[in-house]
Amino acid sequence: MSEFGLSDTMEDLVAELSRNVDRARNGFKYFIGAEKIEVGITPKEAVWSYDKVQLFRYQNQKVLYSTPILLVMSLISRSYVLDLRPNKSLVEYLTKRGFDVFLVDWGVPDGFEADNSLETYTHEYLTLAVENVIRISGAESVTLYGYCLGGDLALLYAASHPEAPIRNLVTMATPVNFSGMGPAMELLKDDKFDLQKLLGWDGNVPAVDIANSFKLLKPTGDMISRANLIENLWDDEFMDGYLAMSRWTGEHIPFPGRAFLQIVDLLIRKNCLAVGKCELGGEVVSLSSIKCSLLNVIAEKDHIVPIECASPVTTLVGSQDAAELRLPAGHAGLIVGRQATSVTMPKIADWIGARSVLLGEDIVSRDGRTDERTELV
Amino acid sequence: MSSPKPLWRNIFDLVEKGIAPKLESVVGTSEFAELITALTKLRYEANKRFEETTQNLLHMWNFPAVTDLKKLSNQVSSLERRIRDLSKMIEDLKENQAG
Repeated sequence: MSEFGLSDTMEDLVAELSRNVDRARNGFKYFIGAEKIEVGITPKEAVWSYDKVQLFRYQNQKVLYSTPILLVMSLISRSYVLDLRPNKSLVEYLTKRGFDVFLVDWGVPDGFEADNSLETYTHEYLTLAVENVIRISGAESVTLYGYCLGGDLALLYAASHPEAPIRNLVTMATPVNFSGMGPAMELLKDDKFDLQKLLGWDGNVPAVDIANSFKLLKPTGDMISRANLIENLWDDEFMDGYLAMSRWTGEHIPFPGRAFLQIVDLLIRKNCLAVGKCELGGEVVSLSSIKCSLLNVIAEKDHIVPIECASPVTTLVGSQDAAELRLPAGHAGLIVGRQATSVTMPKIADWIGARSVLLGEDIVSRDGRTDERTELV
Repeated sequence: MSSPKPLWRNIFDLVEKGIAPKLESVVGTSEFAELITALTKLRYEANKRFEETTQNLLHMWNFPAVTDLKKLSNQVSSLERRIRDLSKMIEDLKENQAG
């Protein structure tokens, strides 16, 4: 520092000038829409498909565990949020930790899916997806990992298929008690509200209505998001994350009409998961019939699925080994937040790893090569 | 070290903290729910009227309207579903015969 503090002032000035150049560059790119961010970065291959459902397997040359993980996504949003950006990807983290990761993607529904019931997903698609994961991986059982409404599908599938080869079940930001879930849910609970009028011409709930219902939960959310953008416009890393998340939140998919009506009736109006009895596939299903190990991951700052809506999972299931993990994050922050790879994912991976079958003392790669296990651990 | 928040951001946060709880309480009221219900009905009726009007106009000139395309698309979807169900039945029958 100089005698008069001039060099500090100059450094600040240069830094601010440099930031302003970056702001102008990123702002221009954002304005003209040139910044098309790449998402879903981990290499994968479609290993099975049925209707619009696709089962993806992520490339992993160093699988440590013979128990594969099957990620189950919600019906209303794109699955790439689980593999959003490098270092902000649940899929990337789990594969690096040595898991054989599969993902079931429901596709973008149109008129064909309008008649899909909840059972289509829990009794048909998920059953087939699990069977195919078992067939392709050669494993005896799987770890089922559901995010948001995907967690409900996983729970309902596990509850209605006690014989299914599920070793572990992970639910993340998954609502089971649908009371107190915000104005959009309260609106749907009202019997006077004609749900048929929410369906579009193709028989599905339009994606734009789903996006708007999320906006109701935090009316100033968009404003805060824009302010964050302006404030951090100079930061390339922030911009990448912002653009990726904006892309995801702006790309909701239509909700298959029949499944939507059934979910409103069973899960929202009858609150059947919390009550303990769901009429599904012609029989009464209870979460108490789930006996496998279960981890319920809750985001403490979740404004979409508040704690009280997600926390009853561990008490509702019949598992002897049921644990709850509360983390200081938001709904999406659990997988893309700042602490996701340093706090959230390691804890989840540790829990799954401790309950998965290990592939012996050596790393066994898919191409038959063996490496020292210590390379990864 | 992270730089302090600019003045405009502090003002924004102050204003947002002031209005956010009020807005959230408004969207949680039964009056707001009724408003949304009414708006949904209104949108539904407006769309219906608009489609009926354009359909009548286009049909006058023997042109297909959006509603015709929607009907056609729904019929194709329905056919696709039936084909899928039939394929499944055939597969099940084959499996049963083989078993």
